[in-house]
Amino acid sequence: MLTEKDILLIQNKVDGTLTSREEDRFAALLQASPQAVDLYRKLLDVHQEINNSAARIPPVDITKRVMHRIEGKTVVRSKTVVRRLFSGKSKIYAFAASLLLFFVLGVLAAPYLIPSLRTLSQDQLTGTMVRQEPSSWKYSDKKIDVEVRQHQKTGLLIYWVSVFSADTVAVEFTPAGTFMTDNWLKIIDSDGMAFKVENQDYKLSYICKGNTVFALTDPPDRSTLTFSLEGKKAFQMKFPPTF
Amino acid sequence: MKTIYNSEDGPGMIKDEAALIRTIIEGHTAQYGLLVERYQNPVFRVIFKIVNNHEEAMELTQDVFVKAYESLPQYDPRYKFFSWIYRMAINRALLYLRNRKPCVEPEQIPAREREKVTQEGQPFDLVTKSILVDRAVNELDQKYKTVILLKYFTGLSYAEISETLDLPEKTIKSRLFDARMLLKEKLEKNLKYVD
Repeated sequence: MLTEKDILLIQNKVDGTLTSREEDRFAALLQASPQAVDLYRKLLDVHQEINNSAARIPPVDITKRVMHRIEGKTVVRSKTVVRRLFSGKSKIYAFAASLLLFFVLGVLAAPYLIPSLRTLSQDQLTGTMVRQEPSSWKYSDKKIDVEVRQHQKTGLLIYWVSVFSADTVAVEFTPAGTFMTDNWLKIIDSDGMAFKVENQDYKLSYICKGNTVFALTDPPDRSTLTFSLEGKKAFQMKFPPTF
Repeated sequence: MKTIYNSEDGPGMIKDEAALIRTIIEGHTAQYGLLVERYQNPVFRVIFKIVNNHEEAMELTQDVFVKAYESLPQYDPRYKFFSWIYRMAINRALLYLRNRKPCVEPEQIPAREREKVTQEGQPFDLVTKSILVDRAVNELDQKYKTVILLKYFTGLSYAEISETLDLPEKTIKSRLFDARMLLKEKLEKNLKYVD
């Protein structure tokens, strides 16, 4: 039976990253274990096949085309609006405006932060997601911001789901008791990492980081959209939203 | 200007990428050509393996470099440039693929196309084998495919793949092992008809 260390040793041999001491250990392992010989051959075969496949891609030269396309474009690290506001003569006004803004935000956020100020209707919300407008919902915490907007288009109900997080977020769509199709949840845009994981057990799973926009088209009733961070469920939204 | 690349090492060798990027942002646009020369082929190979079309891959590679140029002020020099550009390339290609019609299966390649490739010097079995290897890679789950692409088509080390995908090196090694075993299984099934 091969141990994890043995497998790692064989993999490193295939990758050509063994030290001379490890080479000795590898040789001893092959002598002692036919299983190791078999695994080494298998890994080496695959390694060579893919290497051959990579070598068959002819080199390209797109430098001129790229340089032509960026001609005239300049990359300037412009001062952000905030930095501009907080410098020069206008900074006193900017500070005053910020204080006022914090006060207004504080008043608005108080019902959510202080339980005794909550109204009955807010306590009935699903999770901590808040309905902003008749067709828009928003969820925020320290690590993730999610905004869901509902649109009606050619008889279809489409939800635009914008997710932002500096951490990796797992987004999982589970339709209720029906067949699975990739068309329900799709990535529309992303400025960071975003990819589909796999279809498992009637679920569509994506991993994303940074800003990502998904389109959820006509989700069946009682479907759920779950957002998880570091393996822990951040929140779940049920469709159609009833709050 | 400080030496940021070594001409003796060839155009692809850049000594200090962070310094080079700073000079580009300061307005030395022509210097961006050095970064394009250095990374165009690995970026192209990764995109090509995802979209499986030479022309589309060429276009997308250009798009990635233009987008990267426009986004240089957002580039965080604490990370390596290659991890930024490869991540951008993979995301761009995957996004493109999702919005594209399904790709052509090897069986659907017209006979004359196959003949053309064969005439260019490779025996037909080798071409078929290559198609089957490509197909096996394409059939992998994205998490395995990404590791295979970065390992074989960009030549990154485990540590560099780990930085690019923001995953622990141990996870990368384990995914690569699983990916190789899955590929072996798929290839054993398909290649017996070719060898």
